[in-house]
Amino acid sequence: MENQEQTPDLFELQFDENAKSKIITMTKWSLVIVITSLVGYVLAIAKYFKQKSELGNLSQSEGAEISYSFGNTTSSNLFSIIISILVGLLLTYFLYQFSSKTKKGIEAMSQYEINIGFKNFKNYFLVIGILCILGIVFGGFVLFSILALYNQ
Amino acid sequence: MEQNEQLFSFPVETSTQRSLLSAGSWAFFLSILGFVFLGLILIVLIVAGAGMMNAFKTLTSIDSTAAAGLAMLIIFLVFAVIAFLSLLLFRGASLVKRGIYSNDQAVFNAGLASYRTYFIVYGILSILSLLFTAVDLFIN
Repeated sequence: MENQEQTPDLFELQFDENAKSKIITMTKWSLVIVITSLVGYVLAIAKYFKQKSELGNLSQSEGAEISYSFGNTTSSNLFSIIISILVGLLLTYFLYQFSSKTKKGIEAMSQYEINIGFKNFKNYFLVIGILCILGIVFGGFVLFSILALYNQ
Repeated sequence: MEQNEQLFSFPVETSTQRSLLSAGSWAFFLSILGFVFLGLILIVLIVAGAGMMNAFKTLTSIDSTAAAGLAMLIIFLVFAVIAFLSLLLFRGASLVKRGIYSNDQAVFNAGLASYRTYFIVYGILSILSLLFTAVDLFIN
């Protein structure tokens, strides 16, 4: 009777020691990616302000016309940096959740935590996939617009 | 020994399997995009390779042999990294899927190994990218 109850486990897919060690390594490197991404966002903002101050000094010495075009360029740059960071933060959040929940789940053998961890793993790839689709659609639109302008 | 392993193992629940399958579908899609992108790079290189090389030579003001060598090295590195990451995603997604559908522990573990290598390579690349950004910000 006891044997009969244990038999299905033998044929079920398991998180065995081998799988667990691989998942733990995945979570450790995911955390590395999360940390480097966050530091990268801070550096991107610092770089923006550094360039802004350098261009500001240049425009002060060159006059009002450059100052006007400089204002337009920096505001559009800031907008693109903010959008990139927001999207990046979303990806970083999913990766962090995957890393922390799955690691905790594997160490505590908690199915609940592992389920949440792998849901975030799925969400991470899903968001990248959707971003790629948007990028392709946008890129195609820009390409067709350029071709249409070129043919006129 | 086997009994010990059984003790510390636990089943992959249906909900986790579903998440892994869904993640696998998106990872598979991304790997295919990676391969398509590589194909596009190859086509562009064949069609406009010479023109690009001349532009690179003019921009960097390096003599033609060194410029060609440097450009080839950069293109080869980008190509190799994208190909390797795409291959790892492709392998991870397909092996985990096959492992789940056929209840094959070895295939499932091989898929996880591919995902693990993907994250290691991605992690190393992000560290390198961060270092380059820091150098660019603080030194240049």
